[in-house]
Amino acid sequence: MTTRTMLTPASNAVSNLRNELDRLFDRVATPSLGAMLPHPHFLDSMRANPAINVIERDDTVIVEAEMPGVSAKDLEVSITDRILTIEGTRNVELIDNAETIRRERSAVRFERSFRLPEGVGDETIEASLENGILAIELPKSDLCRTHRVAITQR
Amino acid sequence: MTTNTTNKQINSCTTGTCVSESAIKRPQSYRAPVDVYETEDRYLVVADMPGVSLDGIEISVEDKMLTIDATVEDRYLDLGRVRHQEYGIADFHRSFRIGSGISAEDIVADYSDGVLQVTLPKVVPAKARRIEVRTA
Repeated sequence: MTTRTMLTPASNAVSNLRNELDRLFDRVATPSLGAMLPHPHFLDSMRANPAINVIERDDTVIVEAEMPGVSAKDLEVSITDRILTIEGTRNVELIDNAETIRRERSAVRFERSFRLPEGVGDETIEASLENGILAIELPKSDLCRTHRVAITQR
Repeated sequence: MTTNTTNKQINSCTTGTCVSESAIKRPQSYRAPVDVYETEDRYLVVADMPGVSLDGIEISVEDKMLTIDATVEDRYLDLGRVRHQEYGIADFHRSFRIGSGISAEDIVADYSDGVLQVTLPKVVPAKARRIEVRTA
């Protein structure tokens, strides 16, 4: 007796996006040095290649980066040919007539870019900076969106 | 006499003994990177603490120890699935040994753009008060 498989393996946009997100690290144009270290916070939190976290939601993919002491005017987020680039400058204010006792924070010019997977970032991209956290929200294309199915308990 | 003692403390502050790092570290939190500056009348501790909400910051002075604790809520918990992670999310903690040359009750702090700035004013040496002697 042969059973006909009605459900074909998900070789579609959704799983492609999944795979691409999973492999994002392999595809980063400028890999983060901090990513190789177990505790990035043991270093200066701002580096030339800022560390990123990627969170997947039903409708969007969020790329997040820590940007303490960076103001929006010194930060630029851009997309060219599916390459998302985060760049900017972190300034460290100098205090007049002050003696520096300890210095762990540095002024740095930073840049990080990576290729966006197919299925995200075709629509309007929004970026926000709050409490030193940059969050870039990349909407998924209709095909890649997750629609949750309500389950009725009887 | 009193003035002398204070001066001595201020002098020792200049060599860095007034705001020095304490050896106590908590494993469950990140060590926030800090800059420490000293001016004529105050110390300034500047710490990178991204993702902290204002009411999650606790600064205390106890037993000549300045402690900075910042609670970071797990913002990914209800947000979605983490697909790629290069930095962790945990509380920030840092503590410093401070000398008696710091006026603990006048410490003020400010948090903006993910950076905490703590100002520790130095104790102002009491000025000699001139007492007028009146004739009866």
